[in-house]
Amino acid sequence: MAVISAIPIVPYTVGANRIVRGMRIEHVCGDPTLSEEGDHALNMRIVQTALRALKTEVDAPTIFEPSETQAAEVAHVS
Amino acid sequence: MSLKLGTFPVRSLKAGSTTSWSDGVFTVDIAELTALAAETPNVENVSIDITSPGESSRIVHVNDVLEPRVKIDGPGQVYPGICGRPVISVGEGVTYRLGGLAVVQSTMGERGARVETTTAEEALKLKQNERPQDYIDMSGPSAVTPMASLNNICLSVDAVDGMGPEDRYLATHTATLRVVDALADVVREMNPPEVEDLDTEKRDSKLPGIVFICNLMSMEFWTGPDSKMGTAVYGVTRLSAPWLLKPEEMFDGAVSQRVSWHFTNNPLVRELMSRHGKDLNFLGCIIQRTNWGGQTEMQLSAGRSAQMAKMLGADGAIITTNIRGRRFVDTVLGIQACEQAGIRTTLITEEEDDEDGAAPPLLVYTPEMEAIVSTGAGAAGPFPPVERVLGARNGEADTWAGQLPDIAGRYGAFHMQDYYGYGRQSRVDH
Repeated sequence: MAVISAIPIVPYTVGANRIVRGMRIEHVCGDPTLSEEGDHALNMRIVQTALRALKTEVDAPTIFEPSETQAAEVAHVS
Repeated sequence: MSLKLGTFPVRSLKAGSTTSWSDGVFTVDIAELTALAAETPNVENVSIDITSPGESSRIVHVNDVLEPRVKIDGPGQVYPGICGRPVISVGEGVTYRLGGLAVVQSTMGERGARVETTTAEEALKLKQNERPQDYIDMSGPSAVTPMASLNNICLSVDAVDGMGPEDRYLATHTATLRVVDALADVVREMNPPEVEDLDTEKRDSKLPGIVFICNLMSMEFWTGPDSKMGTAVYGVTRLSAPWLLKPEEMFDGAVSQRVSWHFTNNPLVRELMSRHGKDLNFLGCIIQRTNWGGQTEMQLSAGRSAQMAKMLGADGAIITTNIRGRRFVDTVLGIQACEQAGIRTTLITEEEDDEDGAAPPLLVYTPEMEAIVSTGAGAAGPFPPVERVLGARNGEADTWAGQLPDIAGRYGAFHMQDYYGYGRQSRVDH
């Protein structure tokens, strides 16, 4: 299972194993300030990060970053 | 520059023909004050009633509680930035206060665009996770808040029909400030029986430096960045980078609204101030606004608070929070940022409703949270009937006077919450 959250510390605290950082509480999987195309691209990137998370073996709560400039997975709370 | 805080203690409150203070007794001319408030543009249903601790009474539709204070010397005005008042920095010179007296603003249906006061009918139906209630019991099981131990002047004031929320807020809160100012004005020419000299600029380099990081929710998400409603710093309510205030500014009401009394009389600010120069240096108050849209913004704001504390030379921080849910995450990230910067923290917080043992006491926690002081929480009530209701509208007094139900759920017993360690609420601990 992978959970996409705008506040990853919450699923981390309850022990979710794969966590994908979302955008904001009001729009977890996108950004309405972007163009429709940009919003869609971001949406796809987040969902693809979630799919990548599902394919990754983890042994502790792990946060997956959808950022294109920060690919590394981190296992800390923030 | 120091702040001399002169206190005129109010030990009893009575109605009379002249508004005055004498030897601990405050007399209020209800007709004169009511007329003063009613002159405010765009208000109606103005009335004033008084109640004292221990009475079988309940004040309803509470919007704010303010202690009358007045600036005698030094720049600015108390409660700066509110309702068009100047934003000149306060906290220097001389301020007088009526200790133990408060004005309770009772207003229908406007406490911000989202959280509105409840009618008596709604209050009786209130169940878990529904809207919070806003009432003060002057005796009985919920008389554990500091407001229950004050001599309260309840000002009922509503805005006329047909205005938007900002206009309604401005009209009713302006009327309230008129009353607050008029009350404080009666001691302007007198000599206060008690004077405290507050000065955090003189420091002892051998003592540890302590900051107070006060997390306060912003309602910007619901009301927009320019709204004047909700807890404000110099009248500003928006989500912003953290504010740094000199502790003395708090005593002049630099932070106010929702419940202004909590900030002018904050027990943590008072205690830190009293120990300044003795066993610690009180370096400042950092107001961290919460309710950001996601963890990235929360973390940025938290990081700024910690950086501010570090640059002030803080060794330790006392951290508070003021509402549950996602707002608590901002607070936790602030603790984490401080601890990582080498600043030891103590969190003071309520616990969540335990949902009959199914839920943890806090929404989130991290290994950095080593020192936590719990102020209790969870279910409370029922609240027994009272003889007299202040602030009731349109024949609803009888309903409000009855027994009010148990409260449990997401925001707990909202009207008796303790964010700052007043320490009288152990009866509702888990």
